[in-house]
Amino acid sequence: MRLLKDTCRSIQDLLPLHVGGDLDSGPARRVDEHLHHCLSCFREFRELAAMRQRLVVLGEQQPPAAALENFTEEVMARIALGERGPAAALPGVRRTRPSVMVPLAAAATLLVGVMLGYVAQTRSPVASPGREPAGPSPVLTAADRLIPSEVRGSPVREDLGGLGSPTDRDVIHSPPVRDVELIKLLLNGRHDGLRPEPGRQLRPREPAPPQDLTPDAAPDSPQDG
Amino acid sequence: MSAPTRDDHELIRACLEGNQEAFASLVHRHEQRSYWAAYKILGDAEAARDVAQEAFVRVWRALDRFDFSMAFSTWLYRITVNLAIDHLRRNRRHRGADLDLFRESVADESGIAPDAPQDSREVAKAVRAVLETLDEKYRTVLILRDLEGLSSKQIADITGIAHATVRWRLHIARKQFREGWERLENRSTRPAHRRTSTVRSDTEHP
Repeated sequence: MRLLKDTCRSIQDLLPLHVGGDLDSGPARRVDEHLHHCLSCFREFRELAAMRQRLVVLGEQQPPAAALENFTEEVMARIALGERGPAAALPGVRRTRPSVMVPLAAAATLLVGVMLGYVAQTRSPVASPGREPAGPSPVLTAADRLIPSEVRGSPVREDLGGLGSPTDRDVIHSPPVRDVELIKLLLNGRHDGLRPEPGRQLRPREPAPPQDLTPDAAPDSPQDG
Repeated sequence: MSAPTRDDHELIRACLEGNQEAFASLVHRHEQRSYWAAYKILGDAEAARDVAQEAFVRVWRALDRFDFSMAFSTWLYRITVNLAIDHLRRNRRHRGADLDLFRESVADESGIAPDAPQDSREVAKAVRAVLETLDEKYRTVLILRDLEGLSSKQIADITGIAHATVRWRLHIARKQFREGWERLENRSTRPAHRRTSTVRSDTEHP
């Protein structure tokens, strides 16, 4: 017989849902049957029903009377102050948000520049040992090389939308031609940095140092974990 | 035809043509429902107002993507509820309201223990204090189900979680709420009133 199988514990486990009518019809009928024969479970049910009733009381509370004063006016003020509206109301305006990729691309570009700068700095002492790196020398930084001075000094153009403006995109994605050539030279090992020494001969391109690639460290070796 | 007599979809079409007055009518028409939904979830008038206003701003931004096959009020309600839930998540560090402090404050104000509330306002304060102790994910489901009266399927639809998960959370939430309420009662300075009279009933077994 089902009633005997349904222990009070299993029934009471269903009561939190049953009290809100959230059980499916089968289990709900089973709980109802049990409640008709079990006083302790019925009391438990009534306790839960009272708990739920308290929540209903909370739901019936009225918000403060003045809560909605000037509500519409404030929303419309926000909209008037520049919140973007639906596209149909703003024909011709591209409503994409500034892409996260733009600052990421800038960071990546700067990182490459810094690495190239590091290569340039480390090669110079080899060519001229004993020479101390001059402190605040006019050596150009990676950022200096990638961002032309005429742009570096200029403020962001508000009329073009800040970071997403064409000016910024040009800076990030299109380094000046002379810098591109410089980067090519550095990559080919035919330039020893930005401090050329008149009498120094160009070193032949050196092979890359052997990497410590053990079988375990090989790229196609199985990864731990 | 004046704006207030238009239905929501007509107002939206007017908005899409650039008519901001139509949108103001839309806001005015639905501000109360949006605010109340946020207020029930958050229990804070100021936060509810901010959330409701933000909901309308989001609606304004996305109005060109409105699906005319659905009611505007449903769409707004969904946005409002999700913003309110986000607000709860951002402020989850406030979880675990100090029930002792709550009990003392109520006792100071009214001279009575909170386990013997004299009016619905005090009950509401006590309920809100207990709700604050629940984890946000349980609290949200409980509020939407028992305060807002949404079905568990509607809650699943709005929150994007599985229906079975909603029911499970509801199950946990009701148990936790009850435990929280009993903790509140047990901390009462009046041992004689350990159990709330409203819970008790003379009704015995049917």
